Amino acid sequence: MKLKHQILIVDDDADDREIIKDAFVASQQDYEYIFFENGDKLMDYLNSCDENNFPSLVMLDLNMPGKDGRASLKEIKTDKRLHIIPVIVFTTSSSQRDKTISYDFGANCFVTKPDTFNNLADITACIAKLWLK
Amino acid sequence: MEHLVYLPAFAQYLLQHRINDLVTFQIKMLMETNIPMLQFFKEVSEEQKFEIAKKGNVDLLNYLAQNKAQQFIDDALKRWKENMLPVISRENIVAEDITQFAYVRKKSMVHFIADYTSDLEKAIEIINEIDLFIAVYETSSTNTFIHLLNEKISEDAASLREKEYMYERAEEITHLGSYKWNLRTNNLTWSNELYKIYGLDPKKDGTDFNFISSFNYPEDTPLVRKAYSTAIESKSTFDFHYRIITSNKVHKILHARGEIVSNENNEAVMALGTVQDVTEKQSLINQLKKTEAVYKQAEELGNMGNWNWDLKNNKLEWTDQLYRIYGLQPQSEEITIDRFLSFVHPDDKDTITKGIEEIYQNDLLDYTFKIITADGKTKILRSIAQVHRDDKGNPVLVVGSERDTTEKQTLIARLQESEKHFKQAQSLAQLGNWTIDVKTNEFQWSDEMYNIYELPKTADLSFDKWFSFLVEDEKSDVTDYYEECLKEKKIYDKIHKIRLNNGKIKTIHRKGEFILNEKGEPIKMIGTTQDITEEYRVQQELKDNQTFIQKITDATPSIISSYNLNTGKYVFISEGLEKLLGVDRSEVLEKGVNFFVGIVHPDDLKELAEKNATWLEQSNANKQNTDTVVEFTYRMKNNKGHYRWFHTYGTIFDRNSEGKVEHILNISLDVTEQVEASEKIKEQEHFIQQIADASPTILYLYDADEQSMVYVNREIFFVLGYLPEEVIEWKEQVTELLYNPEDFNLLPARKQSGKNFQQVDSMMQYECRMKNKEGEWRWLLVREIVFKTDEEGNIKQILGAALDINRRKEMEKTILQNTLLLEQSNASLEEFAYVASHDLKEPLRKISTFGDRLVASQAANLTQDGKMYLQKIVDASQRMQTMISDLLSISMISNNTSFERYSLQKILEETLQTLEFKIEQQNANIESDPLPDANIIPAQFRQLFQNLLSNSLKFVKPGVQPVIRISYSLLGANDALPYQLAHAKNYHKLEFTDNGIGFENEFAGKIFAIFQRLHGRSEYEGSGIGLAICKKIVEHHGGVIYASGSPDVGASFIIILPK
Repeated sequence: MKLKHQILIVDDDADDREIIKDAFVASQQDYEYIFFENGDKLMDYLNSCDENNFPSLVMLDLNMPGKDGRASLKEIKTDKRLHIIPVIVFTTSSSQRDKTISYDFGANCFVTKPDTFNNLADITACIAKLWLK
Repeated sequence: MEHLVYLPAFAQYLLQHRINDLVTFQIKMLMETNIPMLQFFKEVSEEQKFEIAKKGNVDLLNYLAQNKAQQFIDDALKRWKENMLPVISRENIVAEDITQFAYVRKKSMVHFIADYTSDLEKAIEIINEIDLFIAVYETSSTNTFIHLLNEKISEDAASLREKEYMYERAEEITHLGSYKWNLRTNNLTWSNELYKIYGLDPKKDGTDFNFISSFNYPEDTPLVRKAYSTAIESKSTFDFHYRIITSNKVHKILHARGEIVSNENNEAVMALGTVQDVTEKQSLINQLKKTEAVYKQAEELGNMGNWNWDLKNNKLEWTDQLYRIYGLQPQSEEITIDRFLSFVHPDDKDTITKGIEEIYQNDLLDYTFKIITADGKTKILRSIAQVHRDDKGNPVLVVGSERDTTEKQTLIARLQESEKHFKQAQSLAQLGNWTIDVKTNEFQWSDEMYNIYELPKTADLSFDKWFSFLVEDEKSDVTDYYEECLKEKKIYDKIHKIRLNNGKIKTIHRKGEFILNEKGEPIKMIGTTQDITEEYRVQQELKDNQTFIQKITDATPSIISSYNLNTGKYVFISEGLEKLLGVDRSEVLEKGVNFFVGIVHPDDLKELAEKNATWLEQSNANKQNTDTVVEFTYRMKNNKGHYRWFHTYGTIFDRNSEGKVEHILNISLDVTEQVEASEKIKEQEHFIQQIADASPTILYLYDADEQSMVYVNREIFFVLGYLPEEVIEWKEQVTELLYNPEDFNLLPARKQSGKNFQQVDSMMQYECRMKNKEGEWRWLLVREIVFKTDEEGNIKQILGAALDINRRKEMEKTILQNTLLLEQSNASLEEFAYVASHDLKEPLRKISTFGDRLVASQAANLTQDGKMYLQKIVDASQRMQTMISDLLSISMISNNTSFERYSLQKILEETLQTLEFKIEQQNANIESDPLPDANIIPAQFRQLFQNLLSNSLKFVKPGVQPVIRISYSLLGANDALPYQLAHAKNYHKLEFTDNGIGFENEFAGKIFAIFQRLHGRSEYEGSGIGLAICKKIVEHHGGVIYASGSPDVGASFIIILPK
C-alpha cells in the first residue's frame, strides 16, 4: 500500500503536463506525478507495474504521436489487470465523436481542457475528491 | 257587141225559115253530147222538150235579129238568176252545161250558114260574129254561174253549218234498235226502237229474219247476207250499212253492228246486234259530197278563161277571166299571139309554138303549159281548143278555153289532208255523243261512248246502269247539278269521274244542251262526253307540280329568280327574297336587275360584273352548251342595312331564236354563317399558326401510318438547324435521321420502338437526344399526345412538343460535378476549419493558462500596471478562444446530419434547465405554447434555443421584469410561399418574443452576421456570433429565421421550418 496517490499524466505537450500537475498541486494535493509523452511509454510502464503499485489515476490526452490516447485507452481497459485503473481522457477536442469513442473504450471520464487555469484547478479538485480519496 | 253586121240578118233568116230544123238539130246534138242538165228533162216528153227549146231559140233569134245580142244575154242571165228557167232550177245548171250548150248553140247555128249564103266571105264573117256572140254569152254565163254558185255555196255553207251544228248536237237523234237473232230457230227478238225504225208495230208484226229482210233494198240483200255469213263463219263481229224501204215507203239507210255468240262447242248460236238509222247522216254526207262537187266546179270555173283566135285577121280575143288568169286587168290591153307567147314559161315555149302549128293538122287541141303572169306568178294552165276550118280545110278560127289547174291540185291535196286530220282529231278527241230524253231518262250513245265506257256496243243500257258508273261521293253532286241545269235550262258542263266495270276510274267532261219544245220546256238533252282522264291526270299533275314547285321555291331559304337578260326585267322571283333580304317582290319586279346592283357591296361589284360578263360571252359563243353553271359569292345589303353573304348559282334558262342567251335562272343562298365561320376558322388557323411559330418549343404532328412528320413549326430551325420542309421531306426516315438510336425505345408509335400509348388520352413524356444540323446530339424534353384516331381507335396522328433541355442537361452535369466539388471542398474546408480552430486554440489556452499562473504566483512582484497589462493579455486571449470556439461550432453545424424526430418541447425544457441560473438571476418570466415534435438535430436546436433565450435574458430593460414568449403555429404551404423554402405540406413557425431593449429594424438583417454586435463590449458581453449560429442551424434545418425589433419595446425572432 502506497502512501501517496500516483497520478500518471500522459500528454505530448510538455506545458500541458506541467499545467495539469500545477492544477493538482494548487488544490494542495500531495500526489506523486509521473509524466509520459506518448502511449507507448505509458503502456510500457503500466505493464511493468504490479497490482500493488498501480497508479491511482491516469490523465490521458488523446492526440499524441505514436500510440495515441485512444489506442492506449483501449489497451488499458481491455487488459484484465489494468482495466481497474481509472482513466480520465483529458483533451483539447470537444468533438462528440471523441467523447463517444472514449466512453466506448471505457474511459471513466471525458474532460475537454479548459481555457483558463482556474477552471483547470477546479476540475482537478473535483477529480481528486471523486477518485483520490 | 253593137258591131254585129251579118248576124242579125242571119238570125232573121233562121227565125223565119229554119227554126224547127234548128231546134231539132240542137236537141239531137244535146242528146249526143250528154249534157248534164238533160237529166232534169227525163220526165219531160219529146214534145215538151221541143217546145222549150224552140221557145228559147226564138227568143234568142229575135234578139239577135234586132241586133240586141247583149240585151239577150242580160235578160237570159237575169232569168237564170231569178230562177225563171223552164223545168230546171238555177242550181241544176253546172259549168259543163254552159260550155257545152254554148258549143251546141254555135254549132247548130253555124250548120245552117251554108243554106243562107254562098258567099264565103260573108259566111266567115257570120261565123266570126257567132263566135263572138257565143264567147261573150259564155263568158257572161260563166260569170253568172259563178255568182250563183257563190250564192249557193254561201247558202249551202250556211245550211251545211247549220246541219252540222245540229248534227253535232244531235247525232244520235234516231233511236238505236237492238236485236237478238237465234241462229238455230231463226227467231228474232227485237227492241221497240227497231220496230219503230222499220215502222212496224211490235204487237202486230212478226219478226223472223226473212220478213225483215223483205224491207231491204234488193241490191243490198246480198250484202247483208254476206256480212252475216262471214261473221257466223268466223264467229266474230259484223258491221255494215244497208238500205230499207219501210212499210210507210220511207227510204232509210241503216247501220247494223253486232257480234256472233258461240256455245261451249264453239258453234255459233246467236247474233246480237244493233241497228241505227243513219239516213239523215248519210244524206247529209251525200249533200256534203255534192256541195263539195259543186264547190269544186265553181272553183274550176273561176279558174277558166276562154279565148278565140281569128286566124284571118290574126286577132286574138280573151274573156275577162282569161285576162285575170294572166294577171291583167280585163280588156286592159290588146292581146296578140306574141303577147300571149310572152307569158308562156320558157320551158313550155317550144310546146306552145308547136301546138300552134298543130292547128293545121288537128281539130282539137289539148295542152298543159306553164305561164308567168303579169304579176310574176307561175301558173299551170290547161288549154282545150277547137279549130274551125273553111271549105278548103284551112283553119280560120280557133276557139279555146284555158283552165288554171295550179291551185286546184294544191287545194285538193290540202282538203284531203284536212279531212284526214279532221278524222284523226275526232278519234283522238275521244269525243262521244249522246242524247237523253228528259222525261223517260232513256238515252242513246254514239260508238265512241261505248269506247269511253269500255262497254261492248251491244251492252244493255239504262239510266240506272249509267248512274251506277258514277263514283259514290260524286253521285249527289252530279244529280244536283243536273237538276239545277234542268231548272234553269242552262248549258250542262261537268267534269266528274266514272268507275268502269273493270274497276278503272276515268275522268270525263260532259257538256250538254237542252232542246226545248214549243212551250219552252226541256224535252231532250243532247251532249258530248269526252274522256279527259289522261288530260285531267296530266293537268292535275301539272297543277300539283306547279303547287309543289311553288311551295318549294317559296319554302326554300333561297332566292330563286329568272330574268330577261336584255330587258333586265324579272320573270319570276321567289318568296325567299322577302325572307332573306326583307325586300318586297313587287319592288324587284318593278326595278328589275338594277335593284340588285344597288345593294351589292361595292367591293364585290366589280368582280361580280366581270365574272358575269365573261360567262355570258362564253355562253353566247358556245350555243350548244346549256348546262354551264356559274357561281358567284358576294355581299348584299338587306333592308336593315346589314350586309349578308350570298352564294349564287346562275345558269342559262333559255335562248332566243338566234341562239343568244335570253333568260338567266339564278338561285341564291344566304351563306353568311358559312363565310363567317370559315373566316373564323381561317383566323383560328392563322392564330394557331402564329402560336406554333411563336412557341419556344418545337411543335410537330407525327403521322403514325406514314411514320413521318406531317407538320413541324419553325422552332426546329432555331433549335436543331433544320427547315420544317426538310424534316417533312424525310418522310419515313425521320426517326433514323433525327433521333439517337439509344433513345428509339422511348418513342411511342414508331416502328423502331416497342413503346406505345397506354390509352388514347394519355400523355407520354420522355427525354431524348436529337441530332442537329452539325451532327451534335442535343437533349430534348418531349411530350406527346394522341392527336387523331380512326373510328376503331387506332392512333393516326401524334402531336408533340419538344423543349431544348440540352443546356439544362449540361448544367445538371455541371451541377453534379460542382456539387461533388463543393462537397469535397466543404469537406476539406470543414476539415480545415476544424483543424485550424483546434490547433489555434492550443496556444491561446497556453496564454490564458500561464497568464493565470503568472497572476496567481507573481502577484506580489507585479506593479499595478503590470497586473493590468497581464490581465488585458489574458482577457484578449480568452476572447480569442471564445471566438475560435464559436467559429468551430459554426463550421460543425453543416457536418452534423443526425436528424431525428425529437420533441421541441423537450428541447425547450432542457434549454430552460441549462439557463436556470440566469433565468432565476434575471427573474425572467418565460411562457410558451405547447411545442410539437419536429425533425431536428437536438443538440443544434438546444444551441439555437439557448442562444435566443440567453440573448433575451441578456438584453433586458433595466428595472423591467423580462417576459419571454415562445409561440408556435402550423403553417400551410401557401403561407410559407414568401419564404421560398423547400416545398413541404406544412411548416413550423416558432416565435421568440421578449420585452427587452429591442433594436432598430434596420439592423434586423445585420444582427445575423458573424461577429456583429450592436452594442459595445463594455455594455454587453458576447462575441456577436450567437445569432449567426442560430441562422446557420435554422438554415441547416431547411428553414429561415428573421428578426424584428423595436427599440425599448422588445425583440422578436421568427423561425419557419418545413415540417
